[in-house]
Amino acid sequence: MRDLDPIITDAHDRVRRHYGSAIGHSKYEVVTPALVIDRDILRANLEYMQSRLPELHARLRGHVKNHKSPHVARMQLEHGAFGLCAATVWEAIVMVRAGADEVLIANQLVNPVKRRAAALLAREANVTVNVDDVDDAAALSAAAVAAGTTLGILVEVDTGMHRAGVDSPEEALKVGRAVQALPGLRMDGLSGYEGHCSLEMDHDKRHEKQAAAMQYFVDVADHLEANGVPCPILSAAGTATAFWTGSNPRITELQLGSYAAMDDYHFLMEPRFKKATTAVVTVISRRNDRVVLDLGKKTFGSAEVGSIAAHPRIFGHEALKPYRFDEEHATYEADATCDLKVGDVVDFHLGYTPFAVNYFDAYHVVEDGTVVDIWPIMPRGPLHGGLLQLVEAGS
Amino acid sequence: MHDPAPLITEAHERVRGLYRSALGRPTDELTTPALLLDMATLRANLDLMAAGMRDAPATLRAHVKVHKSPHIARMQVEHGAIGVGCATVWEAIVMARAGISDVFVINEVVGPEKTRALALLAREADAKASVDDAAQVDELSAAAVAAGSTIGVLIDVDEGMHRCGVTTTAEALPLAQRISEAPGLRFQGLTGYEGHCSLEFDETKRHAMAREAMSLLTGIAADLAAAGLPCQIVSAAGTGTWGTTSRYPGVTEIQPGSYATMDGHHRGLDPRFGWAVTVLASVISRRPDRIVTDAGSKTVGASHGVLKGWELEKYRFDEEHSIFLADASVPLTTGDKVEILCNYTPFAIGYFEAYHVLEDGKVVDIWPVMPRGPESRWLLDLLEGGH
Repeated sequence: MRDLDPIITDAHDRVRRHYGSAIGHSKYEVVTPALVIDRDILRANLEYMQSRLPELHARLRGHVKNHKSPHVARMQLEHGAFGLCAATVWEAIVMVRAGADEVLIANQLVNPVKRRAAALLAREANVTVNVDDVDDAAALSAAAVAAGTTLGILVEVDTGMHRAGVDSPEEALKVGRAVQALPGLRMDGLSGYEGHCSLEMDHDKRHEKQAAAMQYFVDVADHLEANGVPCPILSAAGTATAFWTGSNPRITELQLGSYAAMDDYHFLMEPRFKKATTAVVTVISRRNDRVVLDLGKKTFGSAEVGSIAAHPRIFGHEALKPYRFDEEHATYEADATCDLKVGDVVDFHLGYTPFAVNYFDAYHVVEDGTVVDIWPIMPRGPLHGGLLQLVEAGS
Repeated sequence: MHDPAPLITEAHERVRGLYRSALGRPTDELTTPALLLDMATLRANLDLMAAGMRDAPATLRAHVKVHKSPHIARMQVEHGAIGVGCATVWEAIVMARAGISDVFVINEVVGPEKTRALALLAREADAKASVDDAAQVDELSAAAVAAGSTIGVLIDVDEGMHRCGVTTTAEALPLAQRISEAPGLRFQGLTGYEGHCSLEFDETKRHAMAREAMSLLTGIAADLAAAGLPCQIVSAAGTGTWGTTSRYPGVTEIQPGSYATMDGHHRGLDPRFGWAVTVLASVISRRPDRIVTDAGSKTVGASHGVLKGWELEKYRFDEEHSIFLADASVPLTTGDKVEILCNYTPFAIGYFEAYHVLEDGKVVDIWPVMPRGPESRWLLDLLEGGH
């Protein structure tokens, strides 16, 4: 793994300058709401995953979209991940500059600026991109040729999630053949995240859906290979299906991410990984029948994932019923038996952490309840924030 | 209004630099997702509110939590707003540095850094906050005394929204006395956002609910006045109730914000205001039965949205994708641009760092979103002269 690029160390310095006065203090003394990551729990999650890798057929490609942390990504690489996976080209740029040699953008790029950014990034690392459309493949080819680079391509297969992805073996073959014939592209195989399984809370039903999805995925790969399109990479899995999918002898790599920092939503499905990411919040109003906290939906995002409630809750007061979540407030029903009062600083379960991570600019890194570091969240939000110019300039 | 401070001008220069390649271009040529602000619609919204307030007894305080834009806030003041309302002390610092001297944090400010930030801000602006508890009064007073400043304080009244706020004169009166006697604080009146009314889409019912809420609020104000604690300010209303509340006797100011930028929720309450903010997205995958765009719930926010100009049913919003049902009769294809009308714009704005500002469909400027995210301790350092 290469050293951190200045873009990462500068961002680290900046957030340490902004929030570093918290270092050495209890997490309950920080300005709230604050996003907290427990480094011991994080390390335990990474070590557990690493300990399971020898028994799995597939390799681990750590997804980063849920934590958006170059520091967590490096720890994933130090704990058995051979490369990283990103949802956007901007995340991929950050993670290559964080030291990764291998990055998969498990998404369609389509926009010309994003294609160019991926092609330029391929000067610095092995960059692989998902494709489900022949025209998109042709445009990626042109971008790679213009940049003088080669992009790895995985044909995305819809294994039941109904998002992007080709939906038949025949269409996969058509796109795969097109990729094979295009300059600047390397046909690496197939990508088939079975994300619909992560919306199924019932363990046995989830397993059934996972098995069906991966059987279909392997059938598609067989069709391509029988027709002269080798698929050396078959990439799939999320945290809720990783050990099943990783045991399938045909799957070559796993693209899970939530296992590292975790949240309540994934904990319901995979409790062997513990919740490393939480928030610290303050009670700002105490009425006879309720308490009001200083964070709301602007901070923790949605309280639902698909149709499943992933309700944010107060540590130690998990039974308190949510009354309403507003933009800047979370209100819970609480009668006189609840001892929370104005000014109390408490730990908070975020529900589904990727939304909160997307809103904050930094983690307060905690060990034994004490803040030990501040880590930047990169990239923040949907815009490129200067990463385009960075990759254009090259390393 | 003062000139914007370097905090604002430098942020503006920074985002103009980052996204300068978009300047002069039509939306079809932009990198997506992008947050679009249509100036003509924004100006029409601000004009409509200014015209509606011309003969109202109450004044307009523009809430900024919706747009988090120093530039839009300044336009609101140019269109008659006496000052701004904020949800956090960090927003108030940004808006004061944007040149607006009357900043009211319409929220309980709790915690040592936040109260210190408010007290320091009160040295450079007319800074106000709301309280509903004696402990908050004491904390604010101590902070103001330490900073050598005076903080304006309004009592938060719960008129039915059931969030923060006192509900009776019996609660409000001792609190008002405590504020008026506390060093470093100036008792200024009552604030009572009737936000529960903005969840009621039936107009007749909504305005009846608003009048009931104002009856409670102004009743408490009258009780305090009778007890020798007159309320200089009685502040209320959102975009769903501004017409009624601004004309309710005893209400001195209204505090709406969504009227400027708007969204699906507020268009359902008051469709006279137009969509000034949308999210530009690209179709990144075209399947036989659906389209997939590159703007999901990490971009548009928890409340999702609909496509402008296309009557397509939402299939699902994932983090980085929104999926709409579209059969072969829909001529959208991979690479096409679509605009998402957010059901609730503040969530989308909360994720972006800048607006692409449009005149006649072309990008004419890039405006920063400030402050970004929930924690902004560095703004306290700024007030303390730390950097």
